[in-house]
Amino acid sequence: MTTIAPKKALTDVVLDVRDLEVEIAIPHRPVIRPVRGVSFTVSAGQRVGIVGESGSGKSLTALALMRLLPPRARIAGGIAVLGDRDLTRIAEGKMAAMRGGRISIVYQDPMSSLNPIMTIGRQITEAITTHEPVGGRAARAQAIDVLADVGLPQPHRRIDDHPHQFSGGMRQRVMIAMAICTNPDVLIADEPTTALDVTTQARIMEMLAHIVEERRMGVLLITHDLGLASSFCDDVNVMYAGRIVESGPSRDVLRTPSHPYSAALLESICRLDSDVDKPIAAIAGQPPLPHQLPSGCPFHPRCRHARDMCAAEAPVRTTSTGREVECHFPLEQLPPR
Amino acid sequence: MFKYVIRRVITSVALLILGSMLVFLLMRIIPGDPTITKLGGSIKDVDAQTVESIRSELGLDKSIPQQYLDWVSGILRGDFGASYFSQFSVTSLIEQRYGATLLLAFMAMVIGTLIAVPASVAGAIWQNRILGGVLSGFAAVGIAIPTFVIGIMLIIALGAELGLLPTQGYVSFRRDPFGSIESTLLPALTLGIGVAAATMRILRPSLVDVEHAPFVRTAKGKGLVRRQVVVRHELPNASIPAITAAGIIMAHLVGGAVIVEYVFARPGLGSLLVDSVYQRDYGVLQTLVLLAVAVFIVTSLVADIVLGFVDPRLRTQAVT
Repeated sequence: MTTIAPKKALTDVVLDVRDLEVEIAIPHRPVIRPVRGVSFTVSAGQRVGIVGESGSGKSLTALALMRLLPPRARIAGGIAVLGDRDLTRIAEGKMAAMRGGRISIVYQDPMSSLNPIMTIGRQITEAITTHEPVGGRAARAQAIDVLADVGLPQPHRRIDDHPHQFSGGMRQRVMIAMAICTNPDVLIADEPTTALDVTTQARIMEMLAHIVEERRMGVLLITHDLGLASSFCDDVNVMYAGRIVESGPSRDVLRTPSHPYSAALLESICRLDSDVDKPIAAIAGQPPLPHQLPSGCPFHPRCRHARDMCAAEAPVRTTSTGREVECHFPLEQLPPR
Repeated sequence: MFKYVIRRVITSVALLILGSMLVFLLMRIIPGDPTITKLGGSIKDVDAQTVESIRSELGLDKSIPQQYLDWVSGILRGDFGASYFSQFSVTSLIEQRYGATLLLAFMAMVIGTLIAVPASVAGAIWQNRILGGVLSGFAAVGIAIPTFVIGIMLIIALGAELGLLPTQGYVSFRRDPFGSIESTLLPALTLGIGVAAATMRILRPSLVDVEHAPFVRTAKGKGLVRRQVVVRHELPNASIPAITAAGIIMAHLVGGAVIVEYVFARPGLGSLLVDSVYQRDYGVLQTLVLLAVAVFIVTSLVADIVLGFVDPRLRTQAVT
């Protein structure tokens, strides 16, 4: 995956998310807050990753930015500024114009994310004509171009095919084409390759890297795969129990994780070059449920390095050399026992 | 697609043959003797020879399989046989009457669809509890209330009280198209309410199901507004089960037409059917029932073919 190595030095912020909170209120149950103050920025052409286990709040963060949260969930706090607009506050009508136009999303499941009874051409041209004042024929030509860009063979012939006539990988390319055809500022990729096999995954990520580079698009990659995130992204944010517990340049986080959770996630990756008989180092225990958050640091019940203080007090965010971590005892500063 | 259609046509023909046998047998099983009806309700004063000559005239002296074959071969030649009671042939009786029924069924279908589809779409766009309750209530009541009750209520309300529409009879379409449609409005509305209710019972839950489909989320992600998402993506997908059930809705329509024609005194096939039941007129009855069976089978066939056009997955599956 050398061709998708991230590039550096980016400044113009296109998406600025600060203290974003998402609440879910189900009647007769306590209100839960699966996203508790998430902050990060995405610059033009920058690739930012959010990594976490299921239930860490990473997908809800993505849906909140699209304002497509499930019915009982709502944005409870924070801001998300795209260009000059706060996505958390603009009216639904204006948000619809942003969606698919300025900020797009690619979902995990390419098998069911396309309308089965509509040709892929119509599904893509629909996205184009919704946001751009172009006629049907021009939109169709654009759709063929963008399908070629995402690496669909013979796009002028396949544009009138239906989704079931494509493989999973090709469908995901179509999904990506649909998301980027309007040249959004930010592309959210929510586990874009989880449903695909490893070879397809690599090819798709390579194509995606190429496209966002060419179009200087900001990317927010949501994934549970720290390896994928670090190879694709400039920066990664490790998310746990609704908070970003560590963030920084992906190479640094990968090489020297500060937060014990990041370190544990790295250890649990099953590597091709590792001894097959060696058990995979899984993280003991389960991620906490949003209504039963542990006191202090939410990771302390599963943390190998936890001390008394971890259960008593929530850690504050500390910054050093471009990295931020939320831990009382970041690994490199861990005093000897 | 071609193979798929051929296969469905063959099944339909087989069903039709089976249906015709059942209809024919049913006619022989039901009590009553057309000979007696033809003789004026009593056999006492008539000599055996007269009875016998009538029976042979009607073909009733032959064996039942033979009678069936005569009937079927007649139908294949376009001859539906003779009425046992009146001097008209069944073909001419149907020719006189089918216009009224066809117009009624067509208008009821149009009215039913015009109620059911916009109402279901509105329910999907504005998801509030009151509208949902009203629509569910309409569907439940529309199915539960017998057609003749709806008909009588409409006659009282719109016909008798307000005097807006004619409540009885039928004007031939060929003679006066406008008057014909006017005279059909009230009965078609009566029948259309039932059709709308049946359609909504299928369409609304399937709209709710499809709302959670990932492709609907994709459509929202494109920036479509709620109305566009429902009309372009949800409705076409949700209509698949409704199209599949078109045969059932058609059965509802046929059953309802018989009653509605009687309530509104329309000279259609439905009232012809009721008359022929009273007169034990096997000749007419078996043809009309077979016609109803054929309508049901053909509707299902057409629905399946339409489905092949709506759902591309069916087309390619049938080819491979």
